[in-house]
Amino acid sequence: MSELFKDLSQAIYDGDAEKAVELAKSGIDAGVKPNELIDNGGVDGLERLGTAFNEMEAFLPELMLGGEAMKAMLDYLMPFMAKDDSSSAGTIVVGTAQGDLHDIGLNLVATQLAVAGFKVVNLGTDITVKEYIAEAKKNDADIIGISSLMTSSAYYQEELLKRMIQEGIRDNYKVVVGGGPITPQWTKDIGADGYARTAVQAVDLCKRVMTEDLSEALIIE
Amino acid sequence: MASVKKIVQMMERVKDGPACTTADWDYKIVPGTVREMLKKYDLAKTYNPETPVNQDMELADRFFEAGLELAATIGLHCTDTETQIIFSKEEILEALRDAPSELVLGVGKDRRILKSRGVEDKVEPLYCTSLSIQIDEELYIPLVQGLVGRPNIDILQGPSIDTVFGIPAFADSPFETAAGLREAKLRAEALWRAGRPDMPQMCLSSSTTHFAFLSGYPMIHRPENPAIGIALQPAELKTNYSNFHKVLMVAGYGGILRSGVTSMIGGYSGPQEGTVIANIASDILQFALLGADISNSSMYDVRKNSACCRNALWAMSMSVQATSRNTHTILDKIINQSAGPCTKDILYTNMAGLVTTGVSGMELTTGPRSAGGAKRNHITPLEAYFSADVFKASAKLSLEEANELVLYGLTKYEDTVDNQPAGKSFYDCYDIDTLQPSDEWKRMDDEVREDLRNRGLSI
Repeated sequence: MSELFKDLSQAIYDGDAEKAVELAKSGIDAGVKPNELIDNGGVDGLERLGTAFNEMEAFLPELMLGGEAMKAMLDYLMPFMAKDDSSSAGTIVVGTAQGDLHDIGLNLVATQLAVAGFKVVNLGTDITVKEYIAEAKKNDADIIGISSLMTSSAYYQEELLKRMIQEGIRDNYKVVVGGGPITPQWTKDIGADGYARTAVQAVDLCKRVMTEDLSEALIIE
Repeated sequence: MASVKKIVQMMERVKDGPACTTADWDYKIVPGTVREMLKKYDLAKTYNPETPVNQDMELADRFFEAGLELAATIGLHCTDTETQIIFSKEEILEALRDAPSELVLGVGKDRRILKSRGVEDKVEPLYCTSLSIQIDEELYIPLVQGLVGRPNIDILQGPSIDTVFGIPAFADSPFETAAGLREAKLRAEALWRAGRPDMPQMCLSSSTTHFAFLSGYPMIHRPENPAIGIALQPAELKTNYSNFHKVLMVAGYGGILRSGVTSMIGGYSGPQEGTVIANIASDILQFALLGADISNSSMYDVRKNSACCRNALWAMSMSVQATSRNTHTILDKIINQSAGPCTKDILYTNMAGLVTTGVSGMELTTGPRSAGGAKRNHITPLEAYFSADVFKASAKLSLEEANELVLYGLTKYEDTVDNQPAGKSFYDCYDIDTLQPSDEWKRMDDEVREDLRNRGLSI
């Protein structure tokens, strides 16, 4: 079985979505539990990619392709996970606020969250408040993540929360914020559930807002 | 600057170009072709940490050839139309020949000549301040008045505002349009108070999308003192419709176009060597796509959020040298770093970045990017004056002397380059009424200047 995990890890590392799904299928056929395939194969591959990224052996395209391969494998495994009584870490819709076209930080966060087992719906850049809410409803999300590299776009973080209160859906979703000019104070002022400074910290943030009973905004910096 | 007609023709070419998804562009076309160029020109693993200021001119020329071939092979991608814009090598070379080698900016005592430079060029480069760091609206006039308070500041870009009369300036909305109008008015007032109403201007800082630009640019541009329009592309080797709005505006008014984008080491083009190739291609494609007057394609390492880590310095020196030696185009690369005002870190990191690019042949820089541009009100005139002096002094250095200075600078900040101190805000280290730095900040500036003078920098 360790050979299967090794091959699966390599398929994720190589960003080969087709092979990752094929190997996951053979694992399921052989009776391996989905969460074992994810933890010992997929997550291992992405963790190796993360190390390679930090050591200048892999770069953003490889990281993104690895994330895509992981997503394809998770999509395949999802129906079996229900039978196995396992569940993903949660569903998050992420994007940058209206007017903000910067995608690299967003893509890093989306990839890190996928690595950690979240189902990530990456909406991309320049997303309106209406689109965030519509996509959160459509995907039955647990968390909405909204980032901005500029304060003039960050205002839409506050608008999103206001709109959710107006529509009576504020308690349906956790809202986490991030981006260069975003501060802990801003996070608290607008009533968001949490803030993280880096992509890696965003994973810890999302895990904790999903599981902890927080009385105030969770700040990780 | 290209005519409106040429820009419109280019837009049609963009719209009707070969289909290409952004995902294919990011994951396959850019990284794949960059890898091919690295192999074909034998450029992989050529980074030399001992020479953050590159000393090998044959290598720089090889990088230029690779960048030119990359540009002529894949061209650019438009994210709105999801198409590719292909240029022939001849077309690119013609655009480079047509690019201006000299621009006359400003009027009267503030007239400046922005002239093409080469490696180790003795002509002093020009300094534009500052980057579009967000500040409180009420701070705009005193801060800008201070920023342009010395003649070594050649061009004003200035900080940005994100409120209009205290009301949030929502991006991509009429509030942003209002911010453009407001910034233009505040600029005029600040320059009048500083006694420099005719100095060259680069604009517009508060333009998150194109709306503030469309409203503010016509208020700043004058036929006798054409404004430099900032048209930032969405990402490396990409363009979009929002940028074309700005470009058309500049072309229509007869202004000066500065266009480009930041290349990220570790990003889509891979390691520092790949990023140098993509950065060269980004620079030269600004001239082919838009008939730009100035290319503004900066670089930094995405892992360290800095252009002043050792490998990024090397990459910037290589890219500037390559383009300076092989074209007469005018380049403006920004020194990205994350230290803020009232720290010695910002002075040493800016010194390293500006000496690297200045001696390599860069004509213009815009800065400083105090506190990485991420901290509100974290910018003061003092680091702008320091940076301008250093950049101009780089014209007196040889490549070897510059390398020694940069290696020394690295000893001061390299260990903490990815987590530099944000320092203090304008409120906390400047007297806003007298526009003088605090004793603490002034002392730091004096000490670093003396240290660098002792090491051969004429500031």
